[in-house]
Amino acid sequence: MSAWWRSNRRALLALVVVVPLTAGVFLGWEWWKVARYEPTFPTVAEQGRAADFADITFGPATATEVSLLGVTAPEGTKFLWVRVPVDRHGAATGCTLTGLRELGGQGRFWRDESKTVDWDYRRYTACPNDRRSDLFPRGAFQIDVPFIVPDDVEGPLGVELVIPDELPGYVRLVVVP
Amino acid sequence: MKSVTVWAGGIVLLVAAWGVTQIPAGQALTESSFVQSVDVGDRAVGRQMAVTVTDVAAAERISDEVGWAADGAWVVVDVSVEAVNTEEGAVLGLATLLIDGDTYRASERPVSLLGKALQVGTPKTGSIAFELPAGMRDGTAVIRFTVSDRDWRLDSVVEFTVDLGSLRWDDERELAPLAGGGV
Repeated sequence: MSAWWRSNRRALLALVVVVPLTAGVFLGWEWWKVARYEPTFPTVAEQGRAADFADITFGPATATEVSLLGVTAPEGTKFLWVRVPVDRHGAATGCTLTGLRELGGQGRFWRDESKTVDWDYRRYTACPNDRRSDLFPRGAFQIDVPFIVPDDVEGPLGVELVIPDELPGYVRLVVVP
Repeated sequence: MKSVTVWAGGIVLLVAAWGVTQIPAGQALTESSFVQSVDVGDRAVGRQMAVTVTDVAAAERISDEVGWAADGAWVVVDVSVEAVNTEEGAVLGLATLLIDGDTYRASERPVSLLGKALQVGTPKTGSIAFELPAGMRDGTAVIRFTVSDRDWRLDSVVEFTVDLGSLRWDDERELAPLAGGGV
């Protein structure tokens, strides 16, 4: 038997390499088919910092615990007002604030509640995909969205913004309420 | 290695390969849902949705918080439901009641939890109402909750069994108003 192992050692070694490699290629391809259309690779700005992504400057973002006039938060929860300054440097690229992610802990993810609470419709909750040059005469503007999170949420949290053409890349701005 | 051993080994491998192709995996094995059975008061945590059934009742007439009301044979389930980890795609998409081989979808007529978006860490409470054929007062019904209203293959399904015959039939019942997550 040992002679057989010896005479086939190259083929056996090749198997050891090729079998995991094949499995890896197939699994990797299946993962990539999904991941390339999802926010997968973040460009991170730490707390109090701005991030440049796709020729846009995002941040520094803030999250502030607030009470909203005439709206009662569900028991055991609080409102967070997230504000993200955005400077598109003259471009009109559209972007979306997808949500707020708990960095660490359970990694929970909240969507914004600008449609469920009484939120001023004149505030921007996304980058408007509008080519009119006079829309933002001063260039920069800010995105304001409310979140409802459980009382135990303290941060750090990641504010996530997506530009559809830039996927799988996206922006994550770290905030601590 | 002796040639007899090599041939024998080859034939064994061929037969084994043929045997593998003869094992039918079947839909039940490859597509079945991950079912969690609960009783009143139990909390079931699925992939995307955590459900607690708080009460179940039957009534000849139901009404909701905006004043809508209708007569019929109604089964009302009060639940508390929340998203587990992410709010992306987290809705109470489908609630069904299976009895005698027939499946009834929860009614869209009253204001209920059906189709409502769910929040993480903030349970939403309310009711789900099923309208059954008049006179259906007996039998074992299985109530199921899923996130997607189209595809629950390989997804979690929360299942709750109720004996219709043992339910108390009220003349009228008001559905629990929606409260909790998302204000």
